[in-house]
Amino acid sequence: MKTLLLALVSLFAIGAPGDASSWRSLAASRPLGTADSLHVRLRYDAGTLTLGAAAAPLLYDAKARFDANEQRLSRSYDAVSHTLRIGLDSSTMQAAARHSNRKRSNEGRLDLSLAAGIPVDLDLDLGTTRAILNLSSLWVDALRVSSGATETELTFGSANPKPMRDLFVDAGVGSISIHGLGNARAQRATIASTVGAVDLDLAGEWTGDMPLTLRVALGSATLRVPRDVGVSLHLAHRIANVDSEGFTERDGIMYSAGYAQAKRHAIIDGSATLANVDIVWMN
Amino acid sequence: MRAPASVRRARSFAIALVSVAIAHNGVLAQSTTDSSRTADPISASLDSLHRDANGLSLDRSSVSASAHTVEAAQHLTGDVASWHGPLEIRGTVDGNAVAIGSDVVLLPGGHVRGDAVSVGGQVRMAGGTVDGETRSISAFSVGPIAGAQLTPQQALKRSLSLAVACYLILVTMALAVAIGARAHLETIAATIRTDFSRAFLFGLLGEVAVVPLFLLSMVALAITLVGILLIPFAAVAYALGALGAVALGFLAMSLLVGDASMRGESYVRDPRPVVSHLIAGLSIFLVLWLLAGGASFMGLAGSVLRLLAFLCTWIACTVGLGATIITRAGTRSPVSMPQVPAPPVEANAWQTPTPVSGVAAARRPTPAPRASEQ
Repeated sequence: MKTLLLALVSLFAIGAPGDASSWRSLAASRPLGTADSLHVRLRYDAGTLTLGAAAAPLLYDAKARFDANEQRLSRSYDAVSHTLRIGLDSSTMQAAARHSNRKRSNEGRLDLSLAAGIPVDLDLDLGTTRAILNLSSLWVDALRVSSGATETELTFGSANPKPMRDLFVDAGVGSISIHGLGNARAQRATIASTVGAVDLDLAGEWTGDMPLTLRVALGSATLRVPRDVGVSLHLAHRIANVDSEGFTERDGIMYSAGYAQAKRHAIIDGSATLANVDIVWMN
Repeated sequence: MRAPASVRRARSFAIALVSVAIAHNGVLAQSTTDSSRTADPISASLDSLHRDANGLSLDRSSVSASAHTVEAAQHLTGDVASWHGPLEIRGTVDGNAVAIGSDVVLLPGGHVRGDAVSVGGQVRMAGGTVDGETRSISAFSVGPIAGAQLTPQQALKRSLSLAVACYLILVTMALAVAIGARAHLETIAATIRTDFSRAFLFGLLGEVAVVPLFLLSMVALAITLVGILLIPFAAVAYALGALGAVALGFLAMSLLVGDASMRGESYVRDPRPVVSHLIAGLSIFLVLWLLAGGASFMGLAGSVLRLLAFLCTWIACTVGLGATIITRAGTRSPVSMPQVPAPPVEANAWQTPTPVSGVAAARRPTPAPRASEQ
């Protein structure tokens, strides 16, 4: 009986899903050519995503590794509208061909590099991913990030050549860190988090006013603000703690010390529900 | 200690069966490969290429069956492709350049106005230019692997794995039940043995009533405000209870099947080896499912075997569930005790403190005589 059980366990172990042959790799690139802008529509539901600047003559350079049993790669480029659509998702897979082991698709990876010298419009729809978005040296015209359960790191290492029309980040569950948000030079920025931690660094080369809408629920938000920036806070907080030490309230709006004298201002509104909002001053 | 002959026979049979299943697996893989070889592999690849992400449609006539070179003086207006051989471009290609199973090499002067695609190789830029997309993919991601249907080999592997996984889970449960609730299991098994048809009927009723009862209980909870909060817990508890009842009943049925298979050796022993009998019974069900899974590629015969395995398992589950319901999970004896007639009441018994019929004399206990007195 023991032998039989052992044989069966072995058979089960051999029969368990885990075909190495189902993994695929893709490397795709396109020369810049005459393209004067790029719209990227990206859907990535599980794995690790990196985004950065491509080498000079390329419009985009994508490298992907994915489990063809778990995820379906979809990709197209419209040369007329300069729209790149790239997706790695499992929702289109047939149930019969899908395994329940989600861990395997989490081992997938997509590295996307985009042309640096042209305006880029980014629309990222992320699922359960770890996203490292380094937008340094890219000219980002608009950015929309919508994520499910992610760990997202967004970096603006250098100033956007022109102000960004719109910046919208909706981190569902998870953590999001934005470094050098000031470099985005966003005309309007909205950061939302349903459950998790938000870390916003407002450093960067920006002048004038930075309007920022912050919506945090069930979590915490840390705002790292350069010392020379004046901050006005107009947060509707419900069962929330907002660190307003050194702020003065006027007409329901909290102003940081020296707000009137500051040459640049962060104008923050939004809401905090069951959340903690901290402001950290940076020299 | 040597195992009984029937256990040895069952073991050998099961191992042989597993071996046959594995052998079939290999044969099947071989036959699948053979059949794909007999078909036109180039056409199959072109079909996959067409259906792949950002896929291309190539004409079969544009594919060379080996390495191919576009010479410097050449200017092709359409597509060019090679099959299991490098595609070297020195001239101009207005369409796409594709290498399946090899590299596309763009040499100095080489110019592709469309896309340069390599499947299972690389697109190597060695001085040439590509106006379109440069794409290297390790293998097609559509085709048999990502299709709606599993390949017969995958289906076989999957069904065998599933059967073995269920078996191992049930064996674990069987061990737990044999240790912790043996009496309950025996009671349920006894009910099945003595009243099979009633157990089946109760099982059927239980299966029919499981969903309405669930809905009814959820509605009942929802009526009260406090009950709404309990709905998730109640739902989980209900599901666990129902599954537990079915599992317990199935194990009892397996015990009976094991008893029957071990008859003549240890059946008459008291207490009989419950664990061995349980595992033997479960193994018989496993064999059924292995046969059904192993025959999945046999068309109608496979379907019949699957139906047979399903019916046997369903009947076992239904009867087991019915017996579990009848015995309240083995806590009540199903067999009604024989009615012992009450002793006749003597007519004049109330008239005297001693019974009219007298008191039976009992022998007074006396100490045993000492050895010295004997």
